[in-house]
Amino acid sequence: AEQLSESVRLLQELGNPADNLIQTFLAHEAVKLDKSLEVLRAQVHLCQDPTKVNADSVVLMDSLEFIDEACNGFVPILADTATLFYQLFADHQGGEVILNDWITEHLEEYLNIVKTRLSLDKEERESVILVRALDRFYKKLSAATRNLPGLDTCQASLNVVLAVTEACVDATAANMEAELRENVLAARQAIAAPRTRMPPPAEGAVNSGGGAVAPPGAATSGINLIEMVNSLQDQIVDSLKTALGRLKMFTDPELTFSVKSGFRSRFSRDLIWNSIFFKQFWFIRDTCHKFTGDVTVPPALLLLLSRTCLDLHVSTIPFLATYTQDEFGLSESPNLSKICTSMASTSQLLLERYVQVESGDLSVLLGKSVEARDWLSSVEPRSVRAVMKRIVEDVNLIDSQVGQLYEEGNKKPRSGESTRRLGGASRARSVFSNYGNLDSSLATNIQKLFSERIDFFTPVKPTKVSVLTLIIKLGLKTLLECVRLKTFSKYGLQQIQVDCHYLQLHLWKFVQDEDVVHHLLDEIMYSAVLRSLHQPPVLMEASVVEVICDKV
Amino acid sequence: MGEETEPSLIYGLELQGRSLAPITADTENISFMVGTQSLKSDNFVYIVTLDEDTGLLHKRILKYPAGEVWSLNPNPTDPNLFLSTYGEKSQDSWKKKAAVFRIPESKNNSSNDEGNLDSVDIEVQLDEITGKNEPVGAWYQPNEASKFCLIAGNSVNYLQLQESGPTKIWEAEHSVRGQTKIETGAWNPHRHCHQVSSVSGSQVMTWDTRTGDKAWTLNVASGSNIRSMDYNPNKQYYLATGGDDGSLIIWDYRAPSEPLTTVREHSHWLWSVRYNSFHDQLILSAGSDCRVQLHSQASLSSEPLRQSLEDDDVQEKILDDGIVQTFFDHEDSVYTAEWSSADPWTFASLSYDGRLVISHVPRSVKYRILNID
Repeated sequence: AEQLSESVRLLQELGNPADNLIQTFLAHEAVKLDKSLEVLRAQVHLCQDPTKVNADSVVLMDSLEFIDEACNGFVPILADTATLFYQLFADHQGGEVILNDWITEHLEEYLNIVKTRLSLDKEERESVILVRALDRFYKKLSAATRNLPGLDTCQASLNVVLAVTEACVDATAANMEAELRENVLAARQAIAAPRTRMPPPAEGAVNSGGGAVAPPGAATSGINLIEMVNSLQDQIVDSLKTALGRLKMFTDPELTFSVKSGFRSRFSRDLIWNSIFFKQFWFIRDTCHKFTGDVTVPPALLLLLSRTCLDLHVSTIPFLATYTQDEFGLSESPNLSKICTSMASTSQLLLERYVQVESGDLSVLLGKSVEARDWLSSVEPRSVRAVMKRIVEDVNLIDSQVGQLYEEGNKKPRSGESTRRLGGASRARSVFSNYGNLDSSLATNIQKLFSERIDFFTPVKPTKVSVLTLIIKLGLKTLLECVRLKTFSKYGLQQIQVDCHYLQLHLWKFVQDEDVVHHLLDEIMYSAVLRSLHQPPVLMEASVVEVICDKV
Repeated sequence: MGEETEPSLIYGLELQGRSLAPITADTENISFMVGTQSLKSDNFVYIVTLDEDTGLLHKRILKYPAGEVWSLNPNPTDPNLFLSTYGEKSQDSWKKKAAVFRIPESKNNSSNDEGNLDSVDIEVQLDEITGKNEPVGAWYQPNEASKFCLIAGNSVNYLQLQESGPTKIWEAEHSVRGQTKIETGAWNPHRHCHQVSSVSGSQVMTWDTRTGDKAWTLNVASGSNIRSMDYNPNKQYYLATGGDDGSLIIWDYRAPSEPLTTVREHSHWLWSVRYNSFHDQLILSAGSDCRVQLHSQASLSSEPLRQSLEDDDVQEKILDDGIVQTFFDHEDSVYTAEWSSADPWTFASLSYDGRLVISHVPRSVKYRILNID
């Protein structure tokens, strides 16, 4: 530096034009700068592609080492050049501008290199070093250029810090998304896997003696949905907490940049809330929503995700919002209404889809059983058809699955009369108990007076009873439609009678209002009677029907 | 959408029924035929005509002595002929059959007194063709009334009606695993009715009418049964299906792997889907959820846009897609809803309990389509 000053002064005395001198001086210094930038660039390339052939046996530096290199090379050179410049050319007019242009040009290059290099640090374990590196970078550059008139590097270097932070945040968000995808996939696979015999959870369906219990050979509800739901919730919460913990390092008050308002507000408002918090929950919501359109998804997964979204909407998201606020000392509460509403509606859609799929499966069973049979040449019924028992089993299974995740809901209290015995049913409920004098149209008109129209349109509620009611309604409606397409001989009709009685005995306990089951089964019987070859139809004696159904 | 409409006209047949059809050959009167389906009583066919001036419904009741009516398909050019499938009941048995029926000329007594009723008579019995198979339905070729498609069991038959009787032009089989028979059929009205389709399970199979060869197939991805299909009368390659998942699906059959749109507005089976033949933006669907839905699928119609009245350079949407109106007039499953062939804005629907309802497209929608303010 002394030699340089000496040379310059001599040249000045010799009367060299100042402009030329300045250019030569700056060009000379530029060479040094470029050399140090080359080293830094080499590091960047090495970091981007560690497998590339390294001719010069350069060792990869970590971020901190990288910044140290910069702060021992580029930054001091820049600072010294500036100092020297002012010593030598203090009185040159416009010198400040020329110098600042030159500095800015080289600084831009430097900042780009630093930004590129530091943005490559995406791994969680690198975060600690990254934060320190950023701090050192910011501090040193700040210090070096503080006293230079007309030059403000703060904004530019803060932008670099923000860009690097943003890259880190995005990488964190991507990690969380990958984790969620894996967790949901694991849940799906666990559901689809062949069942191992597991004890059903404590709150099984209430069997007051008349209900069918799944035969011991069949796998009972082997998947423990409540455990899976809780596990998924925990995973979501932990994932976010870990991510926030990692990013909290960026707000350490000891860091010079973190206290700058330009950084602080951008970090918390955009990066934490938008790029992490909201982005993750919208991602969860979109992932769940996609399943409503997937025809291959196992229904239990729909149920599980429906419950998950509901929990997120009701408690988890507000809880985590408060947590985030506290962790980062943010005073402003975020507006959660949009995401929460969306989660709630996705939960509802998933539940509706579950109802659609499960009732669809029941419908296929019922439909095929009616469609494929020759009802004109039936023999006298001696037993309930196997498919009916299967239906009751399946409904039991659905009941226990839904019961794991959703509360019971309100049932209409049963009237005093026992509904187990067909003979005891009130006239309003089941007109077919009086099979003797059967005037179909009169019977159905009386019935319609007393019972409410079956409604398929009330949206399903997140209670077990609501879900089961709708599934059973839709399944029985299918049976009605299929019965109307057939023609029944005397015994064919009686078989339907036996089957309906069996269903009446076993399905009432799952629904909200047992009259609904009675009404639908009466409609089915009425339609079967309309389709009966024998007019007036000959039904089986109630006591015989009872015996057959009890045999099961 | 869904604004004030003219009120629906309700008429109660005293028996259950599932067949309803517009009298296609009558393009001057809004008239429909309805058949009853009773195993207990005698059965009838009702010819109902809506008098546009008085708003009253005229009915002509005819005896249908052959049995219970399962389907009605009127002749496209002769209003006195129709194809029908019916259930013939005898002492201990029941058989489904198909025939061509003739409506006798009205004897000019407007009395619907049961003693004085005319009967529809079988003009041509189709037993020989159906053989052991159970007839599903028969549909006249829309542009050629001497030809028709008769579907029975898994077999699709293309027939010519001649003086000597029906002759088979070709026969094909559409069998799908798990299905006992074809569910329904439909004519593709484009290009001189060169194609006719059959539906089995979740599959539509289409046949080249000239040869009886398979032309193309289409499958509903969810595997849900299709109950009804209808070709867009004004836009070639487009058709609609409706089925057990309650969805109305619109397809371009040149790209059958992916539907154009799926609309799920019925909460149980969709039994009937019909394009309005004058304005194909409007689609009628009816289901076992007791609802009749009037849909707009303007974006997939032959006229999605038109020139704005105010600004020549601007193309404006005629109608938004979605439900135009839901009709709550029925309390039992609605198996058919059909547009009138005389008036684009009137349609009829029939529910199993014998309730026939004549309804209209909301006036505001009518004016919008006609571009009247």
